[in-house]
Amino acid sequence: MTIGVVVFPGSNCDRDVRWATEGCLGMSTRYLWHEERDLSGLDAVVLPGGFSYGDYLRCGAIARFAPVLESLLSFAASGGRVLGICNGFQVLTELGLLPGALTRNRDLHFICEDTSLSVVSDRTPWLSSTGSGCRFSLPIAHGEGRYQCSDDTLKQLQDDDAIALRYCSNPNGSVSDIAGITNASGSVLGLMPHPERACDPQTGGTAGRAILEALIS
Amino acid sequence: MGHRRSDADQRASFNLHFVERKRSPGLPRFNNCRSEPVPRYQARVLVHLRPSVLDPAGEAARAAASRLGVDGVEKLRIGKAVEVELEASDETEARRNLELLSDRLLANPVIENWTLELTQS
Repeated sequence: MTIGVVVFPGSNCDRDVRWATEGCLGMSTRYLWHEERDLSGLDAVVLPGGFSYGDYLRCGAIARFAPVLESLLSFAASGGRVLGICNGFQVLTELGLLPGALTRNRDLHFICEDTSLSVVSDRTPWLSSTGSGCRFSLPIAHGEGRYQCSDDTLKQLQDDDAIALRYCSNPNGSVSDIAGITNASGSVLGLMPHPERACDPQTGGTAGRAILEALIS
Repeated sequence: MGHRRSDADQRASFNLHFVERKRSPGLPRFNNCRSEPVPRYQARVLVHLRPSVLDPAGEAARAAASRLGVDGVEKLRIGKAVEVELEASDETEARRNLELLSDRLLANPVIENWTLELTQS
């Protein structure tokens, strides 16, 4: 069981993710350079946080055309698990694997703090071990994390039970307090908080472990 | 926004155009003075947030306007202007390529609208 961590020019949480999955959780992990197309042998792929391609134009707008993401589309279509964290979430929405878009924070500040989250849906493997209604805290660090979508899309998310996580105290103005969503089947999760920064009791707690363990559960 | 063709149609059209260009004798763009020059077009794509999407940067600029002493600014929303120069066999093709560019790269239709101004240079 091996996890791939995509490395775009400008990614800066790729090593954090590998430290968490390999160092803290003992899961075999390898990097995927953005020009790579071969995803064979991988059980899950993580799109890490950072500023892919400098976030030029819009967050994730250029990354969407990376060769590795062409392969990721077929990987996801065949049910492979995909986790997008922060900038990775932005890339997933630009790519169309998840609906909506991430926009500038309501108060324009880059927010870097721990935030309390509540589990909305525990039907997917990502949060099945925590249970809906459960609350935990994860770090956030973003300037453009305000989840935005049309009313129709929001209704679709609710109908699909695809809202995974909500902020207990909305820090950025996201529609419906959304912090993370899945696709309808539940194989793809995108979230703004950083679970990889909460995998060791000495550096931010261990609340993020469950989400990363779900990569290969 | 204008009428859009499917991606497959646009790619096919692009590929056909490319093949035709390769088949033409000589090096039409550089030193074959007998060939027709490829028309060049200039375009400006204006990208703006959809009216329903909050524009906090625009709101901050609006607040600064009153600090400058300019009162009565009821609305201020910030977008982007993208200047593009491109070659195309005719205006229809130029417009088609620019529409694809605008809709798939320059703007994210989930949160943004775009308009296109096109002139031949």
